[in-house]
Amino acid sequence: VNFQEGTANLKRELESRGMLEAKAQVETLEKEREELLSKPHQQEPERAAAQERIKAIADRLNEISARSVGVSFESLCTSKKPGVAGLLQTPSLGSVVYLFLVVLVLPGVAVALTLSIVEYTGQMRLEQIQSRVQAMDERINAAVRLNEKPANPCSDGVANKLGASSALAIRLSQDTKTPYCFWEYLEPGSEDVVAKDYWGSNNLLEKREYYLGGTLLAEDLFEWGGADCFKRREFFDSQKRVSIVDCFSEAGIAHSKRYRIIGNQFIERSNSMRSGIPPMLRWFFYR
Amino acid sequence: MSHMPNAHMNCSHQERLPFSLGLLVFFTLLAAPTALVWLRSFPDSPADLVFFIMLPMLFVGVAYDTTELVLSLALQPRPLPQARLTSFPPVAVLMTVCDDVCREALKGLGSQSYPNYSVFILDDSLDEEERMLVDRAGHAVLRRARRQGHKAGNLNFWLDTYGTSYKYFVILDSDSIISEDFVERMVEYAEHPLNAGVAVFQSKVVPWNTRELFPRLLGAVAPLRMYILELVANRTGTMLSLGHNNLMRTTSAQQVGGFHEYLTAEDTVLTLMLSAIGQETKLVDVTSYEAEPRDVLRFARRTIRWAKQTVELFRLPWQRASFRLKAILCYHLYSYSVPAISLCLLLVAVFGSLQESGEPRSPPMPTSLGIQIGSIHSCLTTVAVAMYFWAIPMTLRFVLAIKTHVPIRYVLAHCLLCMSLGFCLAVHIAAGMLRTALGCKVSFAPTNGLSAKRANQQTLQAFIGCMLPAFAYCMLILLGIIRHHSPTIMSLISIALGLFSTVLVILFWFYRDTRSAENIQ
Repeated sequence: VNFQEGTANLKRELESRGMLEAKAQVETLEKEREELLSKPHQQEPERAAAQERIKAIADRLNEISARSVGVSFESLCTSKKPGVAGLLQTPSLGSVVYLFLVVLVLPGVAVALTLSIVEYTGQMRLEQIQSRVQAMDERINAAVRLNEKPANPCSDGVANKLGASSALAIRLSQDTKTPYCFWEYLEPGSEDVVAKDYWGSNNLLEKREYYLGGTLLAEDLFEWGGADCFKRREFFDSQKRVSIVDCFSEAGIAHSKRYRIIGNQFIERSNSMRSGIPPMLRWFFYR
Repeated sequence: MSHMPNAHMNCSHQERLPFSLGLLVFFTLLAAPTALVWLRSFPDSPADLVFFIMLPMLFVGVAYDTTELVLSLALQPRPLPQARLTSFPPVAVLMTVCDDVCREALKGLGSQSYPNYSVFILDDSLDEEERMLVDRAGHAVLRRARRQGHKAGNLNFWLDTYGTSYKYFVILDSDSIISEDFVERMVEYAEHPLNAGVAVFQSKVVPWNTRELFPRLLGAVAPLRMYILELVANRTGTMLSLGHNNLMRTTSAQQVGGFHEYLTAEDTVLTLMLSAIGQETKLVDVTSYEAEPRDVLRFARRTIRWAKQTVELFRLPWQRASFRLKAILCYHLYSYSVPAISLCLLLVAVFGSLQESGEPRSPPMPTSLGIQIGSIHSCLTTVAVAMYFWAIPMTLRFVLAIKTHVPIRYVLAHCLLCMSLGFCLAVHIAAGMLRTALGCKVSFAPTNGLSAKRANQQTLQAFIGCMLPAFAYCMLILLGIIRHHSPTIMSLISIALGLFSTVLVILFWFYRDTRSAENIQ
């Protein structure tokens, strides 16, 4: 036992707690012990008495230590710090609190971080898709913008005529399920369909679909009859579920943007993007 | 004493299994709702993120409560063995008094059936009238020249003066009442060789002042609490000394150098110090009595003091003490902090949704829970989730209440009372804990004493002081709700109204109890 180190540690602890009286007691005991040790005790009874007194001093120091610092005096007599293994075996009360905090908070942080990264990458991908779809929309619209409004979109000549003035080839197909037709927009020189326009009754455009490598990316649904959400653009995720719904007015101004988060639930986001209405819908676009 | 190491080793081994089982149940109950919410959510804003990360914190209390109740139903009681007494070692009955003499408690002190006992009243009273009452009781009175170290100093004074003459000592508070066979029965436990590793034998403490409504409600669930402690704390090795109405081995107390005078929670400190040398505290099947706080003020003061004392314990490392006890202390720290955490989160829920240049957006909780605006409100879902996880512990508590013959209406009333008091005192408790954490000393005044009357005047101001934040808080919530036009946030109104009503209940109680206290005086 390193007695001097023990008393030094004890005095420091007592001082930090403002227990100056106890500190003075320790100093007195320390001094008394030093005196007893320095005095040569030749005779047996004297030596035994001194030994007994030294033991009593140690007991008293132990009491002071336990009552003020909460540890035995012996444990203060070493400056050896417990290693990592020691700390794991006998963690302090403070470290147990930190341990619980870490256990409680860390998974939350980790999950939030992972979700954020997944969301960010997903968002990036979505933005790419959105701009691709918008670019495709404009490309298709450009092809028909300066042409005459077709009287019957399902007639053979209209698609060929429009296709000739467009960067995209337009192929007319008859819908097998309905009496109406659809136009397929193809990259020149390839059979890759990049978009499809579905024509409904009264020669009205009902739906436009956008494709990439055969995968449906998004579709525009048109609602006639003065609806606020004149053009509804729905984006699809990898599971072909609607992931974003954009609403545009007839003037092409965004009304709302809704994101699917879980199940069939959507959250509302602000949307500043503009997306024009296809020119073939209204006669004035052809002028 | 030769039995001690083996007995202790056996005990530790037997306790490890239920404790591990408890940990497993606890973490399962904590992880299940957290995962459920996490899987349905996405942190969309800083406020969302706060919720996302803090969610497990909110579920800790429910998980802990449920674990305790599940273990109480699953574990079988293992009462400590009792010895047939052939010899009667000397026992000292110590009653600590500090200007809080209780006549009812003094009366029964000298009528123990145990043949070899002495009564000491360790009197720290300053009031002359109180001192006279103590002197007239007819027992040995021990007074110190200087009052230092609070109750611990008082006990240490006796330990230094008479400790060597007694094998055991019983600690009683000034309001403790014990039955005639209390000492005898406690010694029967202490004398059994298989209990050699147990240093503190804690009796089951129930209240005796049940004529008034407030202490009756507070103490109504005491038998239930003791039942849980006997089954869970005893079996898992997490029993803490209650500081009074217990019997202690003198040698054990001396072995750890006596009672800690720097920290005011001398009972918990002693348990920790004893556990560091491999000795335990156990609850035994002996019933004793104490007085619960008479009114809200005294209850508030006691709760705040306990919270501060818990924080104070964290000033020392307690490296050698049992991990299980340290885990329990962490939970105590949590339980005092959780009302303040919940209130902060509710504010975040309301005002976190008003960010982005004041434009209302979906509030954090709904976004976290991924509920469509206009359909089922996510706040209500949160409440539903919480209710679901509260419904389980409440049902289990009712089962245990029936088992321990505690009326269910008392269990309900106790829960409501504690919740409303927790809300009203949340700010005050948090402030007290913070001050203690920053190094402020904890003042110690007995709960029902003379000095308590003086302290109550301060507490009265403090109580009104802590009602103001509660009101301000409710106003803030309402302001948030009014500013927020989204119907989703409107569901928070129910919570705010609940908080308002609890404040009113507390105010009513406070007024009533203050008036009745005045009438008594």
